[in-house]
Amino acid sequence: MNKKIVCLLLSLILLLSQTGCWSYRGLNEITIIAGIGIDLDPKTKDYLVSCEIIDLTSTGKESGTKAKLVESRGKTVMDAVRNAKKRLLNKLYWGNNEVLIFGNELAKSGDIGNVINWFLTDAECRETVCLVVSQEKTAKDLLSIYGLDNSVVAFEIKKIIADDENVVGTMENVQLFQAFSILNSPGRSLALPAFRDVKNDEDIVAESNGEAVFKGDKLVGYLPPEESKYYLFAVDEIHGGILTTSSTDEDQTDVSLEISKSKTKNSYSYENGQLKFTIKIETEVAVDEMKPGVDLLDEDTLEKIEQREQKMIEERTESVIKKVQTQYNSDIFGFGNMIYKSDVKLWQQLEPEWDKIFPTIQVKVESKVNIVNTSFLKHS
Amino acid sequence: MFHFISRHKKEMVTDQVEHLNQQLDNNPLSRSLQKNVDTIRSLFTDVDILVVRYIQNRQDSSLRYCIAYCDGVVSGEIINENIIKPLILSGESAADMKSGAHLLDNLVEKVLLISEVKKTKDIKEIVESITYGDTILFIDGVEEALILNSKGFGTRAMEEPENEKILSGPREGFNEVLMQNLSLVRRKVRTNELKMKFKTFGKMTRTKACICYIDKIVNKNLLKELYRRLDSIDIDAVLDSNYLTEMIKDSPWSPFRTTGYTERPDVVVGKLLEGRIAIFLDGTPVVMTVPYLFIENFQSNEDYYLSFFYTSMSRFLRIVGFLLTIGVPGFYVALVAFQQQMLPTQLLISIAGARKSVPLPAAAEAFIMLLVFDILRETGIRMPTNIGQPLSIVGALVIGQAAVDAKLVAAPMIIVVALTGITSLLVPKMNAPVIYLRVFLLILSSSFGLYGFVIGLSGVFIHILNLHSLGIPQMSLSGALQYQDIKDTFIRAPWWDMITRTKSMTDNRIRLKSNRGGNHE
Repeated sequence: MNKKIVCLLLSLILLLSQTGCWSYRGLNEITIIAGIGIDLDPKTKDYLVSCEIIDLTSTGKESGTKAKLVESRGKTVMDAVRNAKKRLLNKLYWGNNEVLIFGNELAKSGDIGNVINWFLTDAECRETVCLVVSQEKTAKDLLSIYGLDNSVVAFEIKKIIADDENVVGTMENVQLFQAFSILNSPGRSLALPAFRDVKNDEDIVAESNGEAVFKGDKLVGYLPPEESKYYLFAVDEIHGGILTTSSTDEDQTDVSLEISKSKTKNSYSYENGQLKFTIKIETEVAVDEMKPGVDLLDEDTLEKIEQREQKMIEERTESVIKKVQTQYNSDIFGFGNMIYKSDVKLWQQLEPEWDKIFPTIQVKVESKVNIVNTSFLKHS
Repeated sequence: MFHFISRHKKEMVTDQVEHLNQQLDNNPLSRSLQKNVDTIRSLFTDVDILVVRYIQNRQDSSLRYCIAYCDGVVSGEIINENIIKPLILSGESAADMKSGAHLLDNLVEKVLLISEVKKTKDIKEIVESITYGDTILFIDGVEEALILNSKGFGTRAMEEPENEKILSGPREGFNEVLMQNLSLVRRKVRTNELKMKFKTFGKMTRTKACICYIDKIVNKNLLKELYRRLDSIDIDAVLDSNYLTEMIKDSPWSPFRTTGYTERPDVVVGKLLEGRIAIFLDGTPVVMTVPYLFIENFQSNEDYYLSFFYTSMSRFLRIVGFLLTIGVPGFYVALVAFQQQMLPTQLLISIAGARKSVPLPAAAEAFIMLLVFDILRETGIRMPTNIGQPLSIVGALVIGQAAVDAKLVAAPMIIVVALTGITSLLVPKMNAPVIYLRVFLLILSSSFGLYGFVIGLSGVFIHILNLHSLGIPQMSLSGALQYQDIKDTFIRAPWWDMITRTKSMTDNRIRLKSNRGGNHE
């Protein structure tokens, strides 16, 4: 009996002391970070880290949560982060950080791989942090403004990104671990949401602005929201958003269609050294807005709208792909990755020349639009 | 070492008790009235409530008697009208009645107006009876005495038990008199199958107990086991059924109950009908029932009197309440002091804001607040009712609001403690274990975070699964779990659907012949 108890105690002591995550750290000993912006000083090549921290003195009151900005610089990310402690009472706490913003300069210089690596290896950071590219000069410019609704701009950016794919449909929510795996998978490039500052009424607020296109870990350009929507169609990431078209043949936009469901299937063929990709997009939409007097119960009218919309999706998707192929030469659609997954031998053959092959790929987009709901109002 | 001490103590008690018994055995009754009275007087030296009175028959002065009783526990009217009066006025002459035991029989049959009469030579029995409100009648020249039932002591009225209040259902409750308690049960089960066996506990108190069960339903092995355990009890006094509970408990060091208790006759009858055994004890309204399943901690008699839709929900709430009351403080400390990542950001900010300028770490705060709550609760139980209001003001205002306003305690901790306290009231039958488990989990959480919390909780569940009552598992999670067995656990199934009794507890499982009483299906 005694032996049993001793064994139990010993094993408990060993078990408990051999695991991590059990150092006591009170909530009043931490500085909560809401969002982080990382920039590169072009002259000294120092990392500039701006942390948006929660101002706890104001919480709990009616004014709502306020935030402050902490800046630091260092030779590496870790160095910069630790240097922040020089001006802080408490250690920075990363566990509830929501967004990671790359400055324009940093992204262009090709260092995001580094930063993503550091954030993944650090024990405290979340793997589900949203990644954002700032279209302003620095990431700090994006963090230092006040949010429109929530005064912590990092939370606002996070929410804008999270809701976007279901409501607007202009950007893809790429989280830290996904970005890492995209960067490390063959035949695939990274595209991250881009944000900029805009004037709204009296104040400056942050606004999403399409996608930033990377080649490797270098930023090569942006897709504006009108184009990034069709990028999402091509990679099957669209879950909502609005399509507009015209109900008549005149060139006048008067119909809004809300996407309720969309499915994209990609396939490819390789004949005589020519890669051909087919993108089949099937979309279910609901009519949301319509000029009065159009008979929505008339099948011909609906079919015309559908066809016009199909044509538009096909044209625009193809043009976006063309733009990325020629202008950026970055495989954000993951065409190479598709070949890698289905035919490794072919990929091994194509890989060394992929940069040259990618712009020459012929892409055919086939779209099918179904109107499933007509918001029909009876005229009395 | 501890074994040695306890054994030593036990031997001392046994010695004393045996010493007492020997003293009684050394005084056998004699034929002389005076000698017998002297014996009783010497046994009751310094017991001033003993009354001894000599009586002589008017017709025949050779008939001399003496009655002895304890004042206060007897009914004066019975003694005057039914004992003394017939003995004095009886017309039977000594010649008619004399010649040994014959005289006693004549007295019982022709003279005494007492329903319950017993002949005895045993001085021990005489002492026990006299202290229990009986009157002893000694007759000159007879070596035996009569024990006459003249009990008449003040009893409390039958009231609804304070701590088992219900909304609907029978409202009567037990009081301190064994016979009245038994009558309440007897009346509800009008069958000869309801057995009631008397037994006496306590070397000093000689407390009368009654073991009740329904013969056709009870599991005979359990009954045998219960008798084995009760027979081994060797104690000087039994004042409440908890004395027995602790003596026959399966795991004596576990804070969890392994016997049930109630003050309501309807609960006792309900349990008897499920195959349980009830132990009534004189002098206490609390009746013990065995075996006790773990789920009985969450059951209430009202569950069976109200709609099963409603009571299934209350069952669920009680089980959730149990988990909350043991878990919430530990879980809170683990999240706030270790795994902050688990908190949603907004919640984290709110809690961090509240904890900003609080002096103590969360774990210490939790310990102190739990202690304060337990103190408040304990004072609430013991205090006279008329100072309840000031106490609740002190409790609510000073310790709650003022402490938060003065930034001594963070507001979320007050919420946590309040939740803990309120939910503990959902499971009043587990008041002992929850206090310890709560602190146990809190200590583990404060030193190892969620990891410790989960290990502690697993330990608690392993312990609960290991509990037995009268040798049967309190909580059965075996593969042979049957649908009928869980119909009265997490939910309370409708009456027409509870076809069988719990398997482990009864020899006769079928409760309903046909499960369709009304217009079902």
